[in-house]
Amino acid sequence: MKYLFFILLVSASLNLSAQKDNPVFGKVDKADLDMKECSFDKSAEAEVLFDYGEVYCNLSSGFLTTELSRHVRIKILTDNGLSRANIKIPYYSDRDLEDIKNIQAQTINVDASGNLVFSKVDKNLIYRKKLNKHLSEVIFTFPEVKKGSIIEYKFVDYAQNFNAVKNWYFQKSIPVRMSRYIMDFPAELITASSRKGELAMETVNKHDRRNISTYTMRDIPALRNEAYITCDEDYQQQVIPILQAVDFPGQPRRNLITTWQEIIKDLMEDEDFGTQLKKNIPRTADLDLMLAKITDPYQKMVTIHEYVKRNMHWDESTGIWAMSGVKSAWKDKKGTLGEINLILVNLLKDANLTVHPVLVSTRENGRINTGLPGYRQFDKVMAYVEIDGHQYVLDATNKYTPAKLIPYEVLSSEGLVIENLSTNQWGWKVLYNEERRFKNITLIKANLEDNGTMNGEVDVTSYDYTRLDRIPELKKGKSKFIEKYFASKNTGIVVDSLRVDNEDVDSLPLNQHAVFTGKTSASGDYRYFSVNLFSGLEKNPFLADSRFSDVFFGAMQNHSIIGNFTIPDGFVFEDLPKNTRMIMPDTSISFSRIMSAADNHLSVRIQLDVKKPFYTVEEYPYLQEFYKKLYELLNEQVVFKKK
Amino acid sequence: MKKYLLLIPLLFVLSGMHAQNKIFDAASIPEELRKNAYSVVRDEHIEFEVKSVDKAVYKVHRVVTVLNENGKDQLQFQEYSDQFQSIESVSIQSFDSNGRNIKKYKKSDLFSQATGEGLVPDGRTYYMEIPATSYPITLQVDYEIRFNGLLSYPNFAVQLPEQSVQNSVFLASIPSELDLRFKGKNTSIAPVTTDDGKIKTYTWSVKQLPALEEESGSVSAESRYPHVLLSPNKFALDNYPGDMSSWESFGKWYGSLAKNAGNLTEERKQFFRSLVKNAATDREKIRLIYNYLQTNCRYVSIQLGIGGFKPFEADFVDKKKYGDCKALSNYTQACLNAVGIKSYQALINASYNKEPVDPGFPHNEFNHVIVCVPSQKDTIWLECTSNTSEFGVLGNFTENRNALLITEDGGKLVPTPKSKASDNFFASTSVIELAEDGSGTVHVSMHTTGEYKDDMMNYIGNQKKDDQKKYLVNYLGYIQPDELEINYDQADKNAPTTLTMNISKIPEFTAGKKLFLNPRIYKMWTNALPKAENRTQDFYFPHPFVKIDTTIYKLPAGLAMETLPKAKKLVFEYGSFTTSYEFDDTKKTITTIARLQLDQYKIPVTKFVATKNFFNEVLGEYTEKIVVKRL
Repeated sequence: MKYLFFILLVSASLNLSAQKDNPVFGKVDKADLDMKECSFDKSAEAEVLFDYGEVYCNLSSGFLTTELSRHVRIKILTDNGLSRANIKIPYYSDRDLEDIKNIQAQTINVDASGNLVFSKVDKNLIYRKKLNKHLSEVIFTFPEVKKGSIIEYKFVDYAQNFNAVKNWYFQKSIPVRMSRYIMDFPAELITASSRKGELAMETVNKHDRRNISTYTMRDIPALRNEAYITCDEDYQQQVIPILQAVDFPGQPRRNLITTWQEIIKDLMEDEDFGTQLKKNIPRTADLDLMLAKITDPYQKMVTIHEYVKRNMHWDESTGIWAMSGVKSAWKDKKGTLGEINLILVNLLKDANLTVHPVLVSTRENGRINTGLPGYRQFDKVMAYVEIDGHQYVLDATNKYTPAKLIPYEVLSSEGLVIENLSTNQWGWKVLYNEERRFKNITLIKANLEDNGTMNGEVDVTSYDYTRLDRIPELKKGKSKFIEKYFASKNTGIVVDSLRVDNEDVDSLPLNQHAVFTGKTSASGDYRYFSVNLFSGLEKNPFLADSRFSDVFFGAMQNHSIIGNFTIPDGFVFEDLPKNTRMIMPDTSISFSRIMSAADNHLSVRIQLDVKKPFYTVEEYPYLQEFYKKLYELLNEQVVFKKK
Repeated sequence: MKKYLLLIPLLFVLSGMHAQNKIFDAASIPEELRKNAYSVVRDEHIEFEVKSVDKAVYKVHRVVTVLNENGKDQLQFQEYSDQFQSIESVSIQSFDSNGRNIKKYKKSDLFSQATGEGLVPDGRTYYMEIPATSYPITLQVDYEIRFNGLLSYPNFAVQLPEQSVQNSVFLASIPSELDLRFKGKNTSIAPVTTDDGKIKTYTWSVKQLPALEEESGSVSAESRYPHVLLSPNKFALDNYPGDMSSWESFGKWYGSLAKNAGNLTEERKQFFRSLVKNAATDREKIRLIYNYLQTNCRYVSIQLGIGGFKPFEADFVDKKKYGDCKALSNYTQACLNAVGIKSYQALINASYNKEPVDPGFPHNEFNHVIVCVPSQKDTIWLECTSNTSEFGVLGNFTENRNALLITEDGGKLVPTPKSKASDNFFASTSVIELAEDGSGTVHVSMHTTGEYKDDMMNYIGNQKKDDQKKYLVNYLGYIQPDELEINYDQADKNAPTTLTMNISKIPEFTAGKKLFLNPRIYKMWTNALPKAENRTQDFYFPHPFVKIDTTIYKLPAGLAMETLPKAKKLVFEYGSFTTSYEFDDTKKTITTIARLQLDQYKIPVTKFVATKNFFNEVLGEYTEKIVVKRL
């Protein structure tokens, strides 16, 4: 079931005269030639005037073929937009599954006397390049392109099977005035579509001897890079064509859309998946020896997880399948993610733990559409363990994530637990544990000397996901770790020594003890210093005024800074920064700062708690405002002067 | 800027031949070779056999131990292949720390991907990353490359950054009548040679070389680490034979490729003549032609076969209005020619921290082409791939190098100008109308030239508001504005960029009635230089510069002056920093003026500590505050 299905159909020839109202090649609006900027995005370097695609499915020859006719017109608005005139069209060249033909391309300019000038792309300057075993690319560039030019190109993508039927992306990295996608299928093929994105879309469906669906979007803003985004593609406006069923006269209707139950049933019977869960993996003496002493189920789980992590060599390939089988992978001590994690499931089962495989989609792979059953949405399989009502999600290919943490790449996503349908243990689970957070405590003790130096010690304790963030940096070496977390963010601070405890004990927080020297700043009689040292809270990530995507932190956060500072004798504190408490309107984020001075001692307590793992786009303005104030408060310094 | 053209075979990385003792276990590596090392070359044998003027075989046998994750670059196998060089065989084996074989890989296991810098390059890269569950891990790599067309010979890269060498041998053999030339760089190793009248051989060997530390801001690795350059006397590429034994003859070969490429129709020649007809001087004519090029043509990289060296004809560029650096330079030359101005194409090794090519060792290290209009006292250099570069100014990409002029008499190596501090000029004037509550309206006018102009073009010009804001806040160190209005003139390069901002909190912080204001509302310098202890390499700034700032705070009625920082004057061998602060009681304005200058971009290692201290003081100055108080 892992291969693209292939429909061999015998059928009468069908009506080919689908209605066409394509924009005409070469017929341009004078206003578009004169326009100087995109009406809904003044800073755009170029604008797609239209992107028109019509996919036509043909059954007449007895074989299913599809062809996508595409016509794109782009207006170049600035010098930066010139690179938009370099075009690459990728396609599956493997086994001639797809070919790009009938390519036409031209640049349209207006000369000094107002006449249109057309410059065609010469056929011999259209190149084809093989990218790898499967993919090739058609490449060309437009002549005589300058600011103000219009470029347009059209081509037909001829494909076997459904290969020309692809997700249609309305949204691009530049604004799009109009994008239209037409699916033109014979009535015997029942199609549907799913979509991502919430911008307005017009849909027109016509049913006759052919089913024709037209999707149109207008004035689509450009896609952008944003901080704390989950998966770009989740936010890109798109339709996803789906073939639901085939229904030929005189033949029973064949439903091509499955249900999750059917998928689970198939998976449980698949020799590269379900069958692999019933293999008796030969026990190893050393693991048995370790397990013999343990009765606590949690400790058993941890022991097995660590054992598989340590002993199995991951070949870096993902996917849910155990193609070479768990037994052979176990023997070779290396395998794919599917093999390694199904071995993990087997061993946990042998130890009498409640464990099932869980199919997941990592953030990079995108959000699961639970309304659209299909195993191809998943990119990994992990082990799902339940002990005393707690859920654990284990991935033995993930070196640094301990059993108690849900792997960050799937945190807060939905996973499909696979088990025999009869046991009712299958189903969707939200992979989330609110007890595990980004948690960091910074404890500073420093003496400020009369000569302007600051001598101090700091203990940074990083828990759970904060710990997980820091471990890979630590593995790069201590000096890089110091540079990243201690020195680079705090100008003028020199770390004299750093001791790190619990680097390899992942059940405990990472303790970082540093001895440092720094400087106070001075201006006239005043001296001052920042108390926000070593906390990791230095740069506001939310500068942008607008945002398209939700903000994904993944887990809740607790940051504490506790400081004790002593100023030299003979000095006094000026008015201290005000004790402050600040809270988001929905109370999900709170910040507090308490400072008190007694003689020449200052004690500081700063606490930032974020109690939601993500924020929607609608909440962004509040978040932006909060973070702006937050960083202003964090940057406030403490002032003192001579008595 | 990624505008490279000439294909330099980078046979730098993994290398070797027949294994001797199986030294695959990591335990036997001597302690002195572990120091500062991420990887250790255990045993390497490279054989480069030149068979004829355009045929050669390059065989590598190499055993390398990667000590820790930092050395994992060495777990990548990567080789380039195109119509002039093909990868014949590859075998890679990995071994764990005890020398036990983990896995074998062959050529069919490698990924291959069409690659290159350009839109249409014709090469492929074969690559693979060997997975490691634990370190140390040892790889044995054997592969063979066949050359069919040779312009340069592979270098013997003795040692890479953070890599020590136990044993390495490089053997080159060549028909005696061809012979080769070589030159050691950062190394004094001499080859053992043999010559039987038919075949001449050169063998370099090294043993027990400790690792050299990587130092950031140094000259590019290929110029810095020990290596031996090899170069042909006679060569042939795609049936174009040439002679590399002198700059003159190499220039002749290159010039012959472009022969007849300077064609323009009579009508177009006439067009250019009329374009410059009102120009009083040659300089003005050149400026007009360059301006025409910048506004009409764009850079697109298309490199196929000998096309990596041979430009598109001028007529093609004239019609299509695009080309790569060779084609655009060739076109510029043709246009200048049409108006009676003599110019030359000039080959150059571009990139900000490249050393100039060695005049004493003719060798193809070039990757870019520019145009030179020679003159007794006012030679003009033109970068033809940029739509934004200023006329006659070479950027840090090509300044201070040796360029090979392609003249009718062959190649001539000449230096390109060193850029001056004043070529990269950044002047900013900010007027801040401060309100009693600490908020303010800010008007900024920025005047820039050179690299700073490029920055403005790239990060401010045509960017989205949010991206402009990110640049201002994250790179220039501005206080986060609530409202921001940016104006710049795309057409007039000399027009200033102006900002109008509303900022809710101008002071860095307040204490009671006192407001602590920064000397200016952005940072003239943002980052400390890398560590100075035990540095051995010269340090490269991106470019020399002059930065001048004037900041004027206008105080409202409710605020009064309390303390001004002291004026500063810091001078070191390669630059200076001066500040002054002034309060005008009648106008209630605080004026701060600062000037930061760096005279040259290359700092000798002996002066690095002084340089670092200087920039630390510049950073420190920003922590000083102007104190005003509420009445």
